[in-house]
Amino acid sequence: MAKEELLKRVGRENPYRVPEHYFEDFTVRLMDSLPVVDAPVVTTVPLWKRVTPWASVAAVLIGVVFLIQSLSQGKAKVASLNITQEQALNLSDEEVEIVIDNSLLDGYALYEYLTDASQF
Amino acid sequence: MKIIDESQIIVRLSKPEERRRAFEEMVCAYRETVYWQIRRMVFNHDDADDILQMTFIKAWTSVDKFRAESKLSTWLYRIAMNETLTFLTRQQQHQQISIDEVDSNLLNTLESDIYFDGNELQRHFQRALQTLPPKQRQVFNLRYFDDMKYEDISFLLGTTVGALKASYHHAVKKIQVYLDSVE
Repeated sequence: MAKEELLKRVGRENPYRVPEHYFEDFTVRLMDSLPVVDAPVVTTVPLWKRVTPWASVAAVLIGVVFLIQSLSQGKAKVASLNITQEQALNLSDEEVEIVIDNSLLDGYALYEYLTDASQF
Repeated sequence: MKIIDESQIIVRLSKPEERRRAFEEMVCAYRETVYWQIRRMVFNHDDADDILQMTFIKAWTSVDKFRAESKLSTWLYRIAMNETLTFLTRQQQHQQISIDEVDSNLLNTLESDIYFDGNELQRHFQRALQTLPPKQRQVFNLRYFDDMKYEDISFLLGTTVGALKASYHHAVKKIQVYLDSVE
């Protein structure tokens, strides 16, 4: 597989170094330069508060799904080319290689996609 | 990397009298891993040092916005990656140089970098990495060097697993083609 070939060829060795005691000195420098900030409050959100909105959304979605299903009974099913996150996870690297190699997706299209899709 | 109790650190960060000490412990715990994430993106030590400093200053000034819904480490990596991408974009806009010039600049940089110990093959490998667009380089680094799961990268970068797999596969191919052309 491509990754194993590359690993065998160049490995994972880190060719970069840092100046001696860099990390220890960095901490001292950083702590000296930290601006004064008024007492922050780190909010720990309780689990039930985090779950409640999602549970409400899930309940509404389930309702919508049932509604659509009952409305579309008897209609022919249309095959979808979209795959879910779970299906994508189950694809092995070998399968991805085959799919990508046979698709019309090039590196630039991917780059555009990643740029648009990222949410930092 | 030092092992720390994240939940303890989070609690202490909220207490004014303990905040500074807790923050210092957090810095000690994560400075190296965050540094190497940045260094693999920008290659140069001085740039990585600047971005690392910016990352922790930003974390310090926005610590009150951290809501403990994600891990401290994930929060820090996100800030670091944002800072790194901002730096690279600014650098590209500022320099306004062609790809060929970037390539030869990197070669010169690596040749003269006293903090680079790699052999000829590693030098070529680093140049191949430099040819990847920054976002693709991020994906490649997280998967190749850190062996991070696609689900975790997806959470970190906000990109779908399918796109990450495709991007990674393309990156590996590009690097191999580059290495074939120079060997």
